[in-house]
Amino acid sequence: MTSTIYDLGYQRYSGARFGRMHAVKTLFIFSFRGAFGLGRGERSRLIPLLVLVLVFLPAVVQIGVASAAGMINLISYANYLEFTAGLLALFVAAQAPELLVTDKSNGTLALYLSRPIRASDYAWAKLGALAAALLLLTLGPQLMLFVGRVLIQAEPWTAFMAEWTKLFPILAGTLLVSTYFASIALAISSFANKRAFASAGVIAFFLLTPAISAMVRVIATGDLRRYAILLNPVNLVTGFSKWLFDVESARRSTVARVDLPGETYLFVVLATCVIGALVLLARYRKNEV
Amino acid sequence: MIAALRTVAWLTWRQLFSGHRVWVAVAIAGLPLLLTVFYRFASEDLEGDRLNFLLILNSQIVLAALLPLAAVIFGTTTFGGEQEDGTLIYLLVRPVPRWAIVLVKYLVAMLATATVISAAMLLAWLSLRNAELPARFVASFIAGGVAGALLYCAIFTYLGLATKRGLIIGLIYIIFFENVVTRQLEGVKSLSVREFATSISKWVGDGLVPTAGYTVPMTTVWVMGSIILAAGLAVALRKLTRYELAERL
Amino acid sequence: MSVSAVRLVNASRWYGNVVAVNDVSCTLTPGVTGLLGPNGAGKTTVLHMMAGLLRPSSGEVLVNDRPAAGDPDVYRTIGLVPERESVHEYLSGHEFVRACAVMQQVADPEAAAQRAIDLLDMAGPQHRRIATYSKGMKQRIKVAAAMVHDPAVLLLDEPFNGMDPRQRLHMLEVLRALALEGRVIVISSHILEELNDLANNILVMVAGRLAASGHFREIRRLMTDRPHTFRLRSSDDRRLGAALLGGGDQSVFGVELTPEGLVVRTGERVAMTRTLARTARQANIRLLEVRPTDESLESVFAYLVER
Repeated sequence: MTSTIYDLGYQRYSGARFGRMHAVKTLFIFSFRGAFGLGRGERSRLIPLLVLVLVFLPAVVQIGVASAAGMINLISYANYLEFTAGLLALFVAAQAPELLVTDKSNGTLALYLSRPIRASDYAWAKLGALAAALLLLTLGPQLMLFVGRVLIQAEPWTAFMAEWTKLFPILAGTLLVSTYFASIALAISSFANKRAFASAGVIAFFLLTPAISAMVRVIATGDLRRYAILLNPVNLVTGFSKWLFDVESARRSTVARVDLPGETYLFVVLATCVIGALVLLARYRKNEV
Repeated sequence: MIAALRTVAWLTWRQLFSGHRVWVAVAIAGLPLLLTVFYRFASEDLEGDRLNFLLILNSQIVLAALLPLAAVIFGTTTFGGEQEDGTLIYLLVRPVPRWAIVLVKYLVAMLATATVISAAMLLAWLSLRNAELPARFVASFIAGGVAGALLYCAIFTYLGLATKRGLIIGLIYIIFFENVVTRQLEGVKSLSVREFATSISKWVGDGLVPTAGYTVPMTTVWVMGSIILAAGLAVALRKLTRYELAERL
Repeated sequence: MSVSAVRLVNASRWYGNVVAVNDVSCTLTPGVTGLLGPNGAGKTTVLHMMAGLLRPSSGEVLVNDRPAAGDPDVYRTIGLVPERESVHEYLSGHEFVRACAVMQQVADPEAAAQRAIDLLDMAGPQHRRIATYSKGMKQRIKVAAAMVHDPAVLLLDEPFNGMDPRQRLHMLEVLRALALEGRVIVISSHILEELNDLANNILVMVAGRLAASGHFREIRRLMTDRPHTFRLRSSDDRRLGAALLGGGDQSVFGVELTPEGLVVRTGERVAMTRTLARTARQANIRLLEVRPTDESLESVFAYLVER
């Protein structure tokens, strides 16, 4: 046997490598976890957990009470998004900056871009991750509600057959609304260099749009008055949900009074998603940092 | 020592308005003006309409949203920003008492907030004023704005010093407490800075500003306001005095 | 200038369960003192305690016999150059130094600022924004700002970070001149060559404890349980080595033949020099080069860390 001295120094890797899509998928998963504060410090879990708990609360309460005292209608699919819109706004205001701005400020964006991942891939991955996180917060409670309503009945199978068509609007609604919030928050955060200012920007958006919407309704006349409510995210989500589930809105609510065709809401939600995504992509257009 | 404190103020002012940050101030001050342009374009401008518009503009948009936002941004930047940038240490190794540093930074933040908010309301009023909108009208809201700035900045200066996530916590205070909780529970309104600002506007306005809706009694405003101001400054003073700068890790 | 001193008396600092500084006692006198140690040894913590930014968890840190922490007036005599690179980016160098001068309540801030800037050779870029400075320039402007009030105590935390050799030499000159004026200058570093020419006294910190203090040559001498090493080149290394080992001198612990010459390990430095000369003459071997090899801070330090 011949004797050799083994070269234990730097070795090159010449095996198979995962490609760009794998990198994007990994970034997506990492950002999704980061949106809930997993894998980061202790304090960054506070708001995500708080929102997570609060968002499931109505469903839990409804099922709990219904199982004890018979069916009640505390909250329904059509109402859920309306109730939790504020929590979703809080969530994205806190977490969208975490996803985008921390990478910029501590220099890891440069590291990402020096991999086979492109700047636009990065933007898509972040958008997907935040939307997926929001999906968990919107779809989760509604699914829980659904399952609860089905199982509580004396005959679960008939209940299921009666309710199962609701799953389509549930899915569509939560998907679109999640993307709506995510694209707005990420588009705004992409302009900031500090996490805190990004949060401020997102919150400014969700504070000012209802106020401006209300003001326009007071001073404007005619059709402008009606369309003004589309500026208010809560009204928008409410109208959208009602249209999806084909439910009449509460008689004296803003949405009912304005009486806009349901498709308008769909259009505005979609348009906002697209615009937000475009802004985000524009900010991450060049492969430079 | 006065010169030293003036320099601290100057440094803080530069920090708040340097580079891109000045656009934040411009945006806040300019938004109401932008809305008045929209008003001219969209409204029939009947009698009483302008009054209505400015009322809503000032109370719902400026005092309710822009004021706390400006205060949060300026208030938490004065300390949080320095901490983050690593430049706070240059202020601490001076023969200047720490309580003076806190006070100066608070005053600068407060002045910045009050200036931006007053400018916002002034611009809007100037572009729309007529016979039914005397100076007293805008002065009453400016008074409310200044009062709000005094109180908000005290809270947020402390938050910027005490926490790393000062701004986020400050914003949560605004959204949840002042918007959601006070709407549900009337009693809590006597703790809301926004309600204080509104009440002071009504008090100075003396008839020009409609007093509809719940108004916090003026005695409560003075008492609670002073308590909040004193408490906010006191904890901030204490916090900086005991502040210890460890190794960067 | 009155003689000032910085004294640590059994100073310790802990954060919960982590002890950053463990029972350190020393007195710093005018001149340059080097604070050496690996990263995480507690050097910055000690400096910050001297600068009054941290209170000791136990023990005392005194500047001119008054506690360093708690009294802002102590900063009239202390100047600190922090380690972190960040300075107010939106100011120009001149504005920054002048602001520091005003805050220090110096009599003529403009003149003081200009003096400090000239001393650190930053007169050229002084009106540019600090954001445009290189790392070495930022270091120099920080030192200028720390010196603007003519402090009797100057604390520098890794001041040579980011400086090129020429800048470093210039800074060494500046610091030497300042030390000669009677100031107490403390320089922390984990790069040993930086302080070899500069520091008379050193404090070596390892894992929060003071592992050694004093003049580094003295410290070296104190460690008699470790052999001194000499490197020789001679006309016949092998025969010299054999002669040394066989010569009956108990202080020779060992010899080693290397391509660069003969390495002799001995317990007694001074006696060795005489033994060497005598042995070489008796064996008719010419000595070409004799070098005591481990006087440097590096060997001192490495030895202490290994302990």
